[in-house]
Amino acid sequence: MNSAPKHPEQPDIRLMQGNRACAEAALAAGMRFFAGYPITPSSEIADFLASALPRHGGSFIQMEDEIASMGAVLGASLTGVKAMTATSGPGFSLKQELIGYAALCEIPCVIVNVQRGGPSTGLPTSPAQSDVMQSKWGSHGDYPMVVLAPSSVKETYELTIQAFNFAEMLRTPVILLSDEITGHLYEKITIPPPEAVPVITRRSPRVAPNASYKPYLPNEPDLVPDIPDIGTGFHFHTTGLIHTPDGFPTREPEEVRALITRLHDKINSRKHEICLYEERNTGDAELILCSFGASSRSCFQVVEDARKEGRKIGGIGLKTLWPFPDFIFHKLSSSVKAILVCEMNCGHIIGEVERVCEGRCRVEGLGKCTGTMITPSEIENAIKRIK
Amino acid sequence: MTDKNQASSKVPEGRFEIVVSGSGGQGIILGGKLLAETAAVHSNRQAAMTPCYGPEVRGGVSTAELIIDSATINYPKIIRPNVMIAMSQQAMDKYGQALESHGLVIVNTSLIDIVPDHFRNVFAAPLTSVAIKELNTPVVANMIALGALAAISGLISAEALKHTIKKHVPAKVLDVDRQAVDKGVELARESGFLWRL
Repeated sequence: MNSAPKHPEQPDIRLMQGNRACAEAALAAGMRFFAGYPITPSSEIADFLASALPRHGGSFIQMEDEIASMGAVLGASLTGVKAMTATSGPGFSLKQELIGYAALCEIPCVIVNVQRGGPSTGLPTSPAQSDVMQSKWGSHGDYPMVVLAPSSVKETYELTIQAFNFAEMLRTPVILLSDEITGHLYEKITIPPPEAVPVITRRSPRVAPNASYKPYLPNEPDLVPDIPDIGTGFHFHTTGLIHTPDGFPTREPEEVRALITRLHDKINSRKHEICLYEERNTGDAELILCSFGASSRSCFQVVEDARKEGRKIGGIGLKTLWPFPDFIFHKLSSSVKAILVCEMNCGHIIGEVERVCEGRCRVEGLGKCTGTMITPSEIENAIKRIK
Repeated sequence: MTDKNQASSKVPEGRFEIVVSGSGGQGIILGGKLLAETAAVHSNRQAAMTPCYGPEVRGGVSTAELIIDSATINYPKIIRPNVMIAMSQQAMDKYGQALESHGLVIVNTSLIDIVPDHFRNVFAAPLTSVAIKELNTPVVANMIALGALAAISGLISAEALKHTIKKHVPAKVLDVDRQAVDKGVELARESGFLWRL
């Protein structure tokens, strides 16, 4: 509610809304440009940043629509400024073409989608987790995506900072896939002091501007190019066409393959670093409740209740949805009897879990598409059906 | 609250599940935030507050749902409320049936005539009338309710609440808000009514 500075030695404890935590964390991560078009349930992010960004030396612009907002974010980022936008389902659909452009042109940025019920205008004030597949596959073509899903106000703060760090480190768009419950929830949070926040900023070219510089030439070993910021003296070409390391279009099969595979490899080769998750009581568990975002809180409630009664139930809350953390399930699927995937949609993550478990354990789903949160009792009922 | 599947869940022991409900304009969401922040910042407890959004907030029922717990709050929504501040008849009608029978209900009798008869712990006072009569404005009825809740339940301290209010309301209304909290404490003490979870 307020941002009164505290004595430096006292922890900065506040009651904060999830959307506000996202905006505050973005500022802490160094974000200084926001373009967007307000939409429920994400509007609090734009609302706060409209007043806060100018005070931090940044820029806020409300564009005519979500497409233009995404374009403005990419333009700002190309000049070297950390940039973000925030929206919900209908706006997220509109942004997809330029998200693909960002992936191909390796423009770091953060897109926040506070999910609401869909399809179409759907349920503006009700929660859903039904944009999971869209967040991975929303734009055309083969491109990788990094998608993080917070389950609490604290996690929203942490993962927003992480989103900027991944975007900068990998030169790629990163999606923070929140939901109406997490975005609107007020919770206790201790804001870390600035010196405790790890902030990563993209690399600049290590040479002076010169005509032979190849902006999209990848560096080893991270496969990320040092693309110059526009306005720093380098003259280069940015295009949505498949391009060579010098930035100009190509149709040469080997050059096409080299770019597309590098875009995937720069992310997939660091999967263990990017895939964040929380495990609770999985060691001796016979049944695992797997979820993400707000739904994982219902699962963890059931895990806690079950353990008090001696039932061997564990939980996994995925914080990174894409790239999908398959390695978690490779081992787990051999040691548990069943995995119950709980999500507020008609079945998105369950397909991934089934794919990576390869039949080694039973995989069941609790999908809910009512515009309401999955309750602990619904999970208990689903558990009874498994037995 | 609108999900009938919630009712069969168990409320974890020691967990306060609080509904603050009334009409738009009564400062319901602010009241919920103040209560949650006071508990979260001025004690070692956790708090989670959900303002209920929806088309009905315009001129209809406005509600803040809160959880206050000394343990980690996993499921952040109300399972079965055990404390309710009811500021209007509509709010009482909408949420009254969900409240635990041994729970505490604070009733604004200025705007509520009918209270479900199964409640054992009812603190009834004409909060809006008192606000108008003693403090010259109906809008501080929410602060009177919070003061009463503090004195009756010990859930938060009235002094900590006043500290929180200072951070969130304009200086020109700070005094009247603080007086309203004191008035709530006074009404509760005069009644001699105490409640513990």
